Amino acid sequence: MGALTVDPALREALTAELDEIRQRPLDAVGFGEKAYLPYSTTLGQGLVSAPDPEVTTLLGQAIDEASDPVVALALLHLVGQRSDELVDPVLLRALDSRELSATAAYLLGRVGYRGYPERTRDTTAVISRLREHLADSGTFQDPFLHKTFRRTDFVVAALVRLLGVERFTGIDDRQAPLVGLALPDFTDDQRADLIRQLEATS
Amino acid sequence: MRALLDLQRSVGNAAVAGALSRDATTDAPPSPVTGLAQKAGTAAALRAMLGAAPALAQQVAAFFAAGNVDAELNSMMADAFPAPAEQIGNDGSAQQQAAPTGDGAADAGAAAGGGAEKAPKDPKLPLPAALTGTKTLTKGFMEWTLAPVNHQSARVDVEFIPDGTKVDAKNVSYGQTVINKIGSDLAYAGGTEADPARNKAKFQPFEDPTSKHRIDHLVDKENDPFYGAQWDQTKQQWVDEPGGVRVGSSSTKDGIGIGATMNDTPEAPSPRTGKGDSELSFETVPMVLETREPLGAILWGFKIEDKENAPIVLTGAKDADVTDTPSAAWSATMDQYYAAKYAEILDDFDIGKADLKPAHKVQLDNVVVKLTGNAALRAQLGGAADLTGSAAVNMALSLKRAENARDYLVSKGIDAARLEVQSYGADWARVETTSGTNESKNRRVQVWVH
Repeated sequence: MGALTVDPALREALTAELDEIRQRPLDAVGFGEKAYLPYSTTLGQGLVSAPDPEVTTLLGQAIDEASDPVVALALLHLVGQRSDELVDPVLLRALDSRELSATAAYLLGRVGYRGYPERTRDTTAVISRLREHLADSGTFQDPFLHKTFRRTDFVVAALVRLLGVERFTGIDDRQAPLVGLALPDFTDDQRADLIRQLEATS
Repeated sequence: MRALLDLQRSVGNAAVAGALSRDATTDAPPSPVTGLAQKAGTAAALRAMLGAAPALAQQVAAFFAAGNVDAELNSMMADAFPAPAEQIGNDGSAQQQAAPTGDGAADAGAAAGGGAEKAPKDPKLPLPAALTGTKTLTKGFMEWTLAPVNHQSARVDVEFIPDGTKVDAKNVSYGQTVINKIGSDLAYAGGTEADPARNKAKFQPFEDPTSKHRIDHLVDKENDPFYGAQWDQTKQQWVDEPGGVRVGSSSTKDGIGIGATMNDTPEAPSPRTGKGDSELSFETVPMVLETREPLGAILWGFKIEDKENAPIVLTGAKDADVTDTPSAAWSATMDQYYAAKYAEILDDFDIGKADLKPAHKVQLDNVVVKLTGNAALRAQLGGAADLTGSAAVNMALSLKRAENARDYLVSKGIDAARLEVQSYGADWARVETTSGTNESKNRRVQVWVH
């Protein structure tokens, strides 16, 4: 917390929120009530709403220093709800972590919809970085929802949403409004087809 | 067909194929499914086709359920969806398969959406048909569709076109209440499969004590109870929320009503997990934002039995569920929203005045205590006016009321950077009113501490 130069009282309050999340990270995130809002954070509201971009830097440092990946994931969910220009660099850095990449991709993709504010960003750069992870064959075990996903699915969903779902074939009418917002549910063939389409549009 | 699928789980595909072949006693009638196996060519292609087209998957299910036979398709289905190791979701997509084998693995068992939930594993379990309807109400025309997304979620689309000969409204949007049940308990956003009510403390204050309904909104993010509209302080007007909604309007001067639209896709958070039946119920009410006048109402929702392979069952959204007036619970829940949402509501400002009254200062002192106690909290001060006077005067007046409240908090030592001022003019009624009425409860500053 030493790098944060905000008001001492705010610093103390945010530190308390950070400590609480470190102590019980699994309590920090739960399910949403909407298909388009599968996650709901329950701790760290001040870390989300404090407008000073320096708070994003603080969260980024806390993520980097977290020895428990669940703590890092919980903090990443907070970062994704912030609106300043420092958010995307934190999320892009998290893309390179096996434990964080799926959530980072999700948060990069769902910007600007219901609880996740628009941000000033270099969308081209974000898309380019996401593309680098299309070949990721690993899985992501979500500790909050107790579900397992292919990491690629979050990357594919984020790219489809950022590029525009209307540009892609093979996504049915029920899936289309939810791609990149809901938890991904691609079939094997659908995933392969979308990756082919994404590679063709690069 | 259900029996066949059970058989498939227990003894494998060969037995299923045999059982299916024993069904081959009648000729297949014309069907969209006819020739599907040839069209797909391979089991993988068939799986992809059904995954991409849930409607087609439903047609396949209906085809077999009707006693029709297509041995080639049966065989290909068995290959496409072998039991029990690899199964696909009810909507034809790969879901709820076996647990992953670990990081870096991309084997057949590592699938999307897997979890402990006893989700439908039967790819041919049909989704219910969408419920659509139209109805002319006293104050306008409502059109709606409630359609399943999968066996855990459904989407509603509502449009209400106010009758321009009867409704004079600057802004028409929606107020929606929800009750989310799992068994005998309630579920809340932020809950977990093990404890769906984990976040009860945050949501319970919003519940109408009698009905347990609450206003459906993002408690930490949204400052209003409206579903489809959000306040833009820069434009000083209600604007559409993202996602294909529209704020409507209506004018008795020209008789033209512009429809208000909304959509929602609620999801049962943890159905079929041994915690009882899931049931989500909503009442969606088109309303005039500047008068709080309800223009109609629709009840809708869905439920899911706590049994493996239990399908989603749509509820409400029939003609009888669409009415001229909302339930008493809806209005009580809206009142409860205001009681729970705002730390203080400073009302009864003098007409045409923005001066704080002694009672207002006492209320603001309470806000000071809250903000002083937690430096991470912020306050939004939203000023409003009643429906007398011109729009321009009301906007300026509401801004001044909020600014006076802010200045008082600053005078008590609160950092102005923690305070946000908004001004709604006469565009947001807390209590129901009519044009030209001096409604003291709407001459207010509402303080949202968050």
